[in-house]
Amino acid sequence: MTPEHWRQVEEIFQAALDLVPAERSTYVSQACADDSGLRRDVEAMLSQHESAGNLLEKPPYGETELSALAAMEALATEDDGDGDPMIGRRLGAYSIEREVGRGGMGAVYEALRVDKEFAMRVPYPHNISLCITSHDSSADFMTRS
Amino acid sequence: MGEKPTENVTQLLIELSNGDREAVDLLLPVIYDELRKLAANYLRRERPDHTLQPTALVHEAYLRLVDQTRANWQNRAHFFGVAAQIMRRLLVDHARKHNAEKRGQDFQKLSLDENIDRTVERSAELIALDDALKALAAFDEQKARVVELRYFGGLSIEETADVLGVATVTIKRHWRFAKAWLYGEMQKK
Repeated sequence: MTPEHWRQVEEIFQAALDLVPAERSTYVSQACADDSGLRRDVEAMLSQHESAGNLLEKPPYGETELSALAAMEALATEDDGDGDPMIGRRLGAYSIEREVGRGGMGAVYEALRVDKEFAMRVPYPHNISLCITSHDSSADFMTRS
Repeated sequence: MGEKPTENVTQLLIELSNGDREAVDLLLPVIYDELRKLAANYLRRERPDHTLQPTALVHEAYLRLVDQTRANWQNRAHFFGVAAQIMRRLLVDHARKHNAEKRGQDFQKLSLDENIDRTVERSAELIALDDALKALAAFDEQKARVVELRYFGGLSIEETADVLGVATVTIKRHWRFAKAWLYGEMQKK
């Protein structure tokens, strides 16, 4: 498909959309004349225009529990290497720092409490181990002495 | 704080805005590094600003990296165009890496919440979009640029029109064609 072909398709596509729906198919028939390939592509484009709906309307980095910023940090830190999507994630007041072990039940991560109010009450960040089980989708918090 | 390689980065950004899109490969590690620091700073605040858009971080990241006297940012199209490219590369490279790792793993079991599953889905969509955008750029670079600016750069129709120096109605037409065409292309996968 050449750029020229798509230019023709676009010209008819745009003009058709500028018409009221009732007038479109007559216009498309006239504009495409004997060129069945052109007509096929124009009709496909018009149909796709109807179906496209919300495509591209939402930003690509939204919609998770993480704030957009946390998602950005997760993106940036993942590049460092182990590719574990849990690393750097925020779960409530905890930030998952690194994997410390792996067993039959799942992986064990070290998490850092990043709640500032808590940090004020203890002189050091309070580290906990977070056991994320793979079969019941729950997280058991175990404190480390 | 260590020395910032602003000379190099500035030169790369100039090459990038002169149309050499491969310059972004060399830039990415530097940009990622700066982004990581910025994002980490924002997150460690008492109440992270949930309204701050990641695109703002990209802008800030390379404003910090660029020697303003050398890079000619009079042309706003440069600035936003580069930001959008960087954002696209950041997200798509991440999606491709993520996708490659998850293939073969039974990711369902590890789901702590729905959001991880959605992330996997999102990755596949982003990759499909990136491929489709490349195909679009092959016959209509302007439309691909509009999509990149709007979707990855976060610009509105009006802002895109302003940046590219064309009428709003022109951008609207580019956008509606591009959406329909990309939708069709992505359905093929």
